[in-house]
Amino acid sequence: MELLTFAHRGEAKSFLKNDRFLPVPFLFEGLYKNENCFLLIHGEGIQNTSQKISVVCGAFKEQIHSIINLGVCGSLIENTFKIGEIYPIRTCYMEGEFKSFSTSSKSGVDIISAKERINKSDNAKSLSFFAPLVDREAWAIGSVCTLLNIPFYSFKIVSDYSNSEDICQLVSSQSEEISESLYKYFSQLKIEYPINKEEIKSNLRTTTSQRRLFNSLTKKMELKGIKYDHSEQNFGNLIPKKRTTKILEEMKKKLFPFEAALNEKLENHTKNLKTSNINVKFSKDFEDSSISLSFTVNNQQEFEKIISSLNSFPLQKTIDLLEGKIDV
Amino acid sequence: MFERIFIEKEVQSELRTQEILRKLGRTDFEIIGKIEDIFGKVKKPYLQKRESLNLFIGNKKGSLVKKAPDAYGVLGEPHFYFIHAFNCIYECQYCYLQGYFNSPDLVFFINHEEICLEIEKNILEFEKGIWFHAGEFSDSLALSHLTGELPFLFDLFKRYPKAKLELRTKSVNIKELIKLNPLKNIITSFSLSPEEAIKEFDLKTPSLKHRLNAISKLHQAGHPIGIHFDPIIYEENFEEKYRNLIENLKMTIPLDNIKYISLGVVRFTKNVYHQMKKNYPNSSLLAENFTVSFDNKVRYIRPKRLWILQTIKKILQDNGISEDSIYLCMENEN
Repeated sequence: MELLTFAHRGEAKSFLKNDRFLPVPFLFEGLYKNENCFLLIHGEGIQNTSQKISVVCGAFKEQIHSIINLGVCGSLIENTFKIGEIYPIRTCYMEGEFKSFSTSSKSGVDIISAKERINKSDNAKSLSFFAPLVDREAWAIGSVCTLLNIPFYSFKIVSDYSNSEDICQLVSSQSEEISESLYKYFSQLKIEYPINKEEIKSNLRTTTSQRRLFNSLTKKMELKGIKYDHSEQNFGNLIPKKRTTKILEEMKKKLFPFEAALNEKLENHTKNLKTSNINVKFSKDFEDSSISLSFTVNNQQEFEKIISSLNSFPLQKTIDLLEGKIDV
Repeated sequence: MFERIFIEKEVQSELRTQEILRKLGRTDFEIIGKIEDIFGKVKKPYLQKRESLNLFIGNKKGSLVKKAPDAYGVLGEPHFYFIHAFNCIYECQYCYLQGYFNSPDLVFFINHEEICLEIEKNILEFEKGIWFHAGEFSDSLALSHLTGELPFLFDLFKRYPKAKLELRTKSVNIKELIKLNPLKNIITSFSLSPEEAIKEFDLKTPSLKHRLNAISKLHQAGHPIGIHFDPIIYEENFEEKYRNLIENLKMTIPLDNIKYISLGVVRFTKNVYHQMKKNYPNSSLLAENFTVSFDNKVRYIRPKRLWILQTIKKILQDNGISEDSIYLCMENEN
């Protein structure tokens, strides 16, 4: 369900009237619902907006899948935007804040949310260096939606040039027309929501970490254009758990042939050590060529076995592998 | 090319500023106090450079010349870089500029005399050879017809033949450079990759063919050439691709005429890697098996890096390049 948000009742008037919204008994006034969506009138400014949207999204998190903000904005640059025209918003900035938030719209105009109403040309000028449109809410909505990972859109109708002195009066006297324009625009709007990354389906029996690894490797194979269908592989009578392990190994081999060859060769070089219960450790991610060997001795026989294994260990060849001297 | 142009008040009336505006065919601009009052003050999404790139013109303040990190260039000599601009018109998926500034907007610094004076101070401090690099934060040549610093640099380095200047580039915009008399100590170095890698990762950059053509023209005009095989990105048949690339290079310029060849395997700071994931979620670079390495950068595991470097080094040596002409960039072979 979408949550439509407005700063002022005037902006939402046509939506409330035409789409049979009913008030939702809630912690505060201003929340409405019809069979398709919620509607919230959150008031003006960053604090009102972020507080009320956060609470509503928290309370109805199972139902709200996206937020659409509609309302008025001012133009900070004269003669660029038509008064009464509606623009999709691309990135939301905030006066005095470093962070920015982008909407899910593929293109649009940038907006800066001001701390106070802008009616002095000096303020308008300095804000215009960051974005051509100004409002008092969009950044807060972006901030909440980013935190909650909810797609958001914002569509703003340009009501005035922000250096005019009587903006508030102008907006309130034209609220009927503004709301009607927003309503018509919204009725014709076709929003393509970002596709949620669905978990890759397979009939493999996996643990949670194996599932995560399988998904990550599958995605990587897609990026690399490598085709691999595990259902076509023949694993004989392997039990499901071992089959999964084998499939993950094969996927890794296909994606990372160098790493697979290196591991195989290191495994071969150290096989004898391991059969003599000598622990072999390489540095983390092979970031240097050191090899750590450790063992416990209980008697002369064990000691001789260890010495014999150590003598046959191809140390230089192993170091060479770690130094990249390898045929792949 | 630029959505908006911002000019620092103190350079508004300078001829150099007027010249840039004239070349861009623009009369509309905003006067600002200082570049840093606006540039990087808010986080501007990197890929907005595709639709709404702004230009800032002003003077570089603070330190004008900086010490380069170890293993930045030819070993054994001190390396410095200077900054004539911020950001780049190209869009290489691995580029560290994605995570460096908080804006993709371009900045041109036009106080060339001050920057040259600072370079000179450093030259005088070192009796031996000293290297300076342009192109740390912006391609050295891509916008050189607008930025206009090349004649100043040539005048300076002509007076100090022991000091060397490297102009790093992927650009084929050599028209300003070729007007100048070549100097033995100013080396134009091109970053090259196999054609397929250029198409896939170096978005909006000139093709390999065009880069080789630019190398040929500059070489014929007597300008010294350096080559960077950097970043090298692993592909299953990378050896064959680099063999072909080196063959192509050989047909462009005799390999023993190349002043140096540097090799560097792809690497990122964690922040740049994170930005790349965001900006290019479908890049095949994200399918690589990277790890956090000795210097906290995201790279291939060390045996793989060394294997890649040794493989390409061997191809170069098989083609008659001496070991002295090859150096590894940001990597210790031992």
